Amino acid sequence: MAPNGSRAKAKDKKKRLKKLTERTPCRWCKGLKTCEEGLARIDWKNVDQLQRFVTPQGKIFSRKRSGNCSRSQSLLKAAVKYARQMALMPYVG
Amino acid sequence: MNKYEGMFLLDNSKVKPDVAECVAAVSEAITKHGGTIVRAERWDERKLAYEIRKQKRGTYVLAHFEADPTKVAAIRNDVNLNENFLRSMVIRCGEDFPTFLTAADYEAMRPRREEEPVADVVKTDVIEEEV
Repeated sequence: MAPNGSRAKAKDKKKRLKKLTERTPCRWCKGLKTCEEGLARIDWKNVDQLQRFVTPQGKIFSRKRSGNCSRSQSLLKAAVKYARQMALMPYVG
Repeated sequence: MNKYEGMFLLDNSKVKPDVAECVAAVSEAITKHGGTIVRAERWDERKLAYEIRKQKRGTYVLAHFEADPTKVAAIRNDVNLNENFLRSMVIRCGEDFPTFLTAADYEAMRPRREEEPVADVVKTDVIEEEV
């Protein structure tokens, strides 16, 4: 194989990998000046909102699946657990 | 005095699920320990996600109140011992109370498929994953 060809292949692979690992911005913080504005919208009483981040069974989606940033995932996790305690959302084993 | 947000789940079989009685039961528990209620309203009457003490339905009351931080434990303890209450959740707010929204308000905020989404609704559309 020509050295030129293999180098081009390697470059191509790098590009693909970058595309795969690139993250879209967190949907809470997206387009806002400060993250706090967005994170303040996470509300444990808003069951509709929380239900978008859990499976139909009630398990919390991973950050990879939901696209949340670390802080929003942490707040969301707490919110879902509050909602579970108040019987607004189900517990799942 | 700190600001607290409390949500209480009342037993439908012990407390009538009408507005006045529910709010009275909650405000009594708070004012007993020197708390002042800023706003207390019936949040919703709904089916529970799981049974609690053989009850399948319950009434939620949401209250914004100010209380001495040393008294909050007493309020929690009192409510836990009271058989009219199934669950309670008292959370300290920061500088200000969050906006008071009942379940009906949340229902109104929900984006409908047919209509155009309301401007101030939280944008939580599912992102398309690049695979």
